[in-house]
Amino acid sequence: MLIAIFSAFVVAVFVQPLFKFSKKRAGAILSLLPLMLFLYFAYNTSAVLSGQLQFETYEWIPSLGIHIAFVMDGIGLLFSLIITGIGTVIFLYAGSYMQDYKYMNRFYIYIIIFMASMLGVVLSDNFLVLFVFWELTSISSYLLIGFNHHKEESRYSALQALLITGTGGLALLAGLILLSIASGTFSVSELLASGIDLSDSELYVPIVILIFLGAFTKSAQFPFHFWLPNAMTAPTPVSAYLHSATMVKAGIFLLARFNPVLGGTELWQDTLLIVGTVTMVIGGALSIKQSDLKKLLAYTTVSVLGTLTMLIGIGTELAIKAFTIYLIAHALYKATLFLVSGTIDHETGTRNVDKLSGLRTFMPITAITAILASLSKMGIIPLVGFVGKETVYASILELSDFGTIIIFLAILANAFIVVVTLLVGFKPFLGKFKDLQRKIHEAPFAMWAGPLILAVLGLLFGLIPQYIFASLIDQTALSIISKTIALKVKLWHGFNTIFFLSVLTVAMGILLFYFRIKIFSILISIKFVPYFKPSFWYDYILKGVMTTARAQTLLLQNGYLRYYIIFILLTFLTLSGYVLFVHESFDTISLDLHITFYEIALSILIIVAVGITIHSKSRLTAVTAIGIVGFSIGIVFIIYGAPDLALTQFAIEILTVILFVLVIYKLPRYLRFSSLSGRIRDLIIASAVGVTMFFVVLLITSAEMSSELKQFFADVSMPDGKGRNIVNVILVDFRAFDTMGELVVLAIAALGVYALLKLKLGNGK
Amino acid sequence: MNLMMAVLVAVLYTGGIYMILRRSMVKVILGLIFLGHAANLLIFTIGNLTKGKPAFVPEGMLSLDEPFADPLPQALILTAIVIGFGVQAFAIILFKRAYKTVGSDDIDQLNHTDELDR
Amino acid sequence: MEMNSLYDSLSLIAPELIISVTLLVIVLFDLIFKNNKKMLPFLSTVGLAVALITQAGNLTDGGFAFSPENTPLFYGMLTIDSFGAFFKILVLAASMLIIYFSSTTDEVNESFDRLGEYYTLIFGMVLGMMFMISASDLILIYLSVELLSLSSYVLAGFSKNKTRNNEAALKYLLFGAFSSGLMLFGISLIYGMVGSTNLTALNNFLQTGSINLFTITISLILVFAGIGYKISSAPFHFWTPDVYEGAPISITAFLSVASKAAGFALLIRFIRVGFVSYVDSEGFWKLSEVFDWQLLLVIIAILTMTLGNFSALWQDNLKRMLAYSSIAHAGYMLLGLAVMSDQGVLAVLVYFFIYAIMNIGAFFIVMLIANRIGSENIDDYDGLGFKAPLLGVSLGIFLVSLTGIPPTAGFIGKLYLFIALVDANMIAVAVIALLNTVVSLYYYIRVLKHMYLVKPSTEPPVIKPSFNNLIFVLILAVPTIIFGIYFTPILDFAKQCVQFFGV
Repeated sequence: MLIAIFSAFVVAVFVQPLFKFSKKRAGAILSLLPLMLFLYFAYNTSAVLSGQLQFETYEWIPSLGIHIAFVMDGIGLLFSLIITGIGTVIFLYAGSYMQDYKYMNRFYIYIIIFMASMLGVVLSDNFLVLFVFWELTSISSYLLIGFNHHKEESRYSALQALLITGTGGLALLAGLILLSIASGTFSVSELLASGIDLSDSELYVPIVILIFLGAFTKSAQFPFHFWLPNAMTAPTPVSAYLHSATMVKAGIFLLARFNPVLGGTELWQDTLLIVGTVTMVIGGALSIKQSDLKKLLAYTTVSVLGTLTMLIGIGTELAIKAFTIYLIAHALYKATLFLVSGTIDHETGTRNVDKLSGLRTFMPITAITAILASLSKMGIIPLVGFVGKETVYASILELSDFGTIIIFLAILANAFIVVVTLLVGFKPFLGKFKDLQRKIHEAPFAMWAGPLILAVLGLLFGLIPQYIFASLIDQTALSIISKTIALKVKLWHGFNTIFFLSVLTVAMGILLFYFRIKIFSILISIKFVPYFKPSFWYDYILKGVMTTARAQTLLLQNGYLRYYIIFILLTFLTLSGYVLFVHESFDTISLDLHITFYEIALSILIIVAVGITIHSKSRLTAVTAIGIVGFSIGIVFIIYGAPDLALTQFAIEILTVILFVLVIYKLPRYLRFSSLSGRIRDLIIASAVGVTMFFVVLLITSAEMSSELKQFFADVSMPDGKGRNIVNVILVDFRAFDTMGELVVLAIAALGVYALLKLKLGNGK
Repeated sequence: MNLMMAVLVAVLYTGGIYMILRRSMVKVILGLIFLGHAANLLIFTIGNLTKGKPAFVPEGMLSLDEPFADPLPQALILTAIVIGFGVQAFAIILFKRAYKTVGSDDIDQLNHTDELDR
Repeated sequence: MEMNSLYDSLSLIAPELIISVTLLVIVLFDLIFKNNKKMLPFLSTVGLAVALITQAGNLTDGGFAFSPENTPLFYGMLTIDSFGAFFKILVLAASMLIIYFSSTTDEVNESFDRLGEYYTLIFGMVLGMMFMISASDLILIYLSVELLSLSSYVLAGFSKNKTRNNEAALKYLLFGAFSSGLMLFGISLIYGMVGSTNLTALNNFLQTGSINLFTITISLILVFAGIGYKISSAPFHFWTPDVYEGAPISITAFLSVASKAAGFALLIRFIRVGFVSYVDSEGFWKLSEVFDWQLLLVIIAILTMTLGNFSALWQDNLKRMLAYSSIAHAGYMLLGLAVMSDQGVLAVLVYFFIYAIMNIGAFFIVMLIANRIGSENIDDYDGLGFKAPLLGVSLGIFLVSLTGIPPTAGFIGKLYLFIALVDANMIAVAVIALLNTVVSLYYYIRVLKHMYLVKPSTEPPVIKPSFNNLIFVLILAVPTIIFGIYFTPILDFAKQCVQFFGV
């Protein structure tokens, strides 16, 4: 399986040279890749269907028990066949459809990466591998949606899809990590085999919510459904492939995958049932407002995805059977219809359903294909869509609680689907031809062959469902609900309630179709309050975040140095104030009041000099005053037995004053820039810091400090350091390393000054 | 004694912080110098003030007995003074260059940050 | 000090000595051959390479350097251990990349006559960082921080005649001087309580001494201010965007990676050596109960990443956006440390390794494009992806990796972080980090959108990087992908390096 996925990545590398070789045939040649992969999976079918799961494991992060592991079971195989089978058709089709695109080679690279990632999602046997591929599908989808990037709309949708599915993806990652913590394994198959019951775990609810977020965003479930119709700006083959047949079903796959472990609780089943039903109805109801072929189809896809979610929510044997058949049926007819709409667009230049009719004479094969697929979609006997819908209805009817309501909603949703199908599959081909001012002819072979095959398969599967589905359903059921089911699949069940409901659906659909203009105008006149539209909230949140971000940045990151410093000081004051408040501890302060007259005089001198520096209107006075402060501190050093310090202090003070005078000599008047209120604010902050430091000094001088080190230096300075001045011995011997560092710092400062002065010289040249 | 030092440190901090919050660049640099003094005094105070007893081993003796000034903080202050000077010198030169390009002593002229992006 | 202990010490700091010698060689070379500036990057690279090899060879060495033997109180000014080795290797490797980076940056090469100072100062920074990484004595910590800072101030203002550049340097200097001033106060307070400036002594004191909570809290906040400013964590991060935008871009990249690495190494060592009483069997650290580092770091980390990400959201200048994004990344890494376990530190190491590669890569491409089109503005990137295919794809890889999306290395970094958080039961914090990642997704992808999806109003120029630059980009881009899939080597390396000497 790794080889299958890896081979796709390898092929992606060779796309570029292939296009150099022949752009015309590249599509056809590349479609061999999904075909080969399809055959590979088909070859494995008999083994898997007889119950032999295929495993592959390669070491990745052994320390965490994370391996690159794959497993092919019923549901994995089912999805793989769909991915590669539909993929073959799409690759072939796009080779012709995208001929006019400038960057067709890129398109193939992206879509191959997508296909490989999608296979990775459905085959991986490890949470993280699953997640990695999951995100890769989001990214390749982003690139593919944005492929028609000259449209602003296209860029918007691409980003929207990525943000929503990307966010969901991260939620999924969180969910998976929690799941691995709760279950103790990263392996999907181990988890499923363990039969562990997580519903009592305290992590259960977060896990379920996070996994729901991942699945619902990816599979466009309400209220995240709006990105999917917007994503229709992608080229049609992409819509057919990613946004109907495969990627959007990844969320459904995820739910199915974890159903055996997480399912069975009310939270899980009821949420899925409700969300699925709501999505089903909303997708159907919103579809009718559209006139663009692809958007029409997109909303029905939403509806179908809702139905599939609902079926997992029902969770009975019958529901799983319906799930399997409906999944396959949908993949077959929806991809076909998308491709047909692409063909129409390609040949006529429009996708507006109101402008299209009577095309059957010009494009007979496409017409037949479209009608076959449409019949399947409408659920007309004997196509596979009929079998699918019948089983869906049957499984809803089994529900005891809300069966009646849901069956009504399902019929309604399906009636809408019928309307859409009539619009997309029949209307363009039947009736009187409307002139479109261009010559219309049948699509080239590559564009009709694939869709036709899919449509015919739809018929075939409908005629002989028992041969196609029986064992597949068994294995799928084993994956989803951990048991095989003994239900038979038949095309014809006789004239029973379900058949009657099917007929009713179609009849209602036809009725709606004829009155659609009226219904449409009514729907238009009801102005949806924007608050009910999730897309409104998406825009709103996005805008809100941007506004907050901007306001916050302008407030905090305002470019004014002093505000930056104020923030730091306020943080400092808040924290120290908090600690002061919590652990008040001033009783340990002991004041030492032995103080002499000249000390008092010195202190007053310093305080006055500080005041002058602050208040002075002349720079020179300020610098002189600060010199006085420095010298007075030097005297303090002398008084308390630190002559070395005093000498250094004096020297440095003189240097600073000289430097200052030299530099500021020529500057203009010393201005007072700040306002009075600003000065008062600063004074308050400064005083608060000052008071804090006052207490800190008192506290720390009151505590007894261990002086081992002091005595140590006094004892060893002479014998070891051979020096009487202990400070000097420390500097040049015990901590010579520090002194070295100090010199380096000073040298660097000198170098900096030199570099700056040199710059001035450079300017002169 | 510690009361006096506490007052001095507090005054130097208050003055320094107040100056550093000013708009004139010269004042900001003066503020930094104040803070440097404050830090040095703080360290000095912490080393248990001992009046008039420098940390010299007297002639003819091998070691020194209490009380004498703690030598380690002094070494630390020396480091701080020297580094502080390095930073100040560089700051003054840089200020001069900034003054030449901006043409003002006003630090608020130096906020070409987020504005340019709007 | 015994002589043989001195020799031992010197052999332990061999890489630092090599760096110092190279620094001197560059100064001399520049004095003698005034007009041969081409050799400077070459000389620098050789010096760094020799230091790197020496350091890699000494990976498992452990010991205290410069500790007099006859007293227990010294413990050593420098601690040489494999934890430090990790960061030193990171710093040295990043420096080599930056030397090449600088040699291709127009902004730097304009000042031809001052190139000698430029490379000398880079070595000043490297030396400062190396000592910061190993320092286990508060005075040396202060010194090395100052050494690094002073060199960076000068370099931040290195460009010619640019107002912004000047502004960057001055702001950086004033802010830096203020923060390191705060740190110095903190250090002196700690000395006042402990009676020693050694971290191990601090640890002993906290376990036995009588403690005034108010003083210790204030002193730790003050020390954290100095370190926090180096790693640009909130609320000490304000200088970052202004300086990163104004400084020459090679220096910006250097500050955002190496300088930050040194700061983190220092912070981790400070907490690990100074505060951890013991490590339990699962690797969780038990701290002295004088100060709730975990709470402080969690709050600061959340603030840091949220402010960083939210400010990055609407930046149009790419350099500035990357500046904010690097703030956010510091936030993630702080969370790793906040776990307070070996696992958490491992996550930080892994994250840093990857972050260094992808961040330098992103800055380098921004520089190449700026060299060509003269702008760092995102609107000027419209359609560039097609005109500079390789640069576009590589920048894409770096940005996706910075977001943390698989299959890039950035994902692995985030993954380890999240696992560490969840393991420590810090689930709410992990969720906030995750939400932050979502926010960052938006602004990183926005660049991609402009490069690939927006139609340019004027035809963008074709950008063909030189062969050397191309190789440089590949050296960074290929590992970003490879390590996203096969990252056991980083992991093994990091695991080997969670060892601290002497604790």
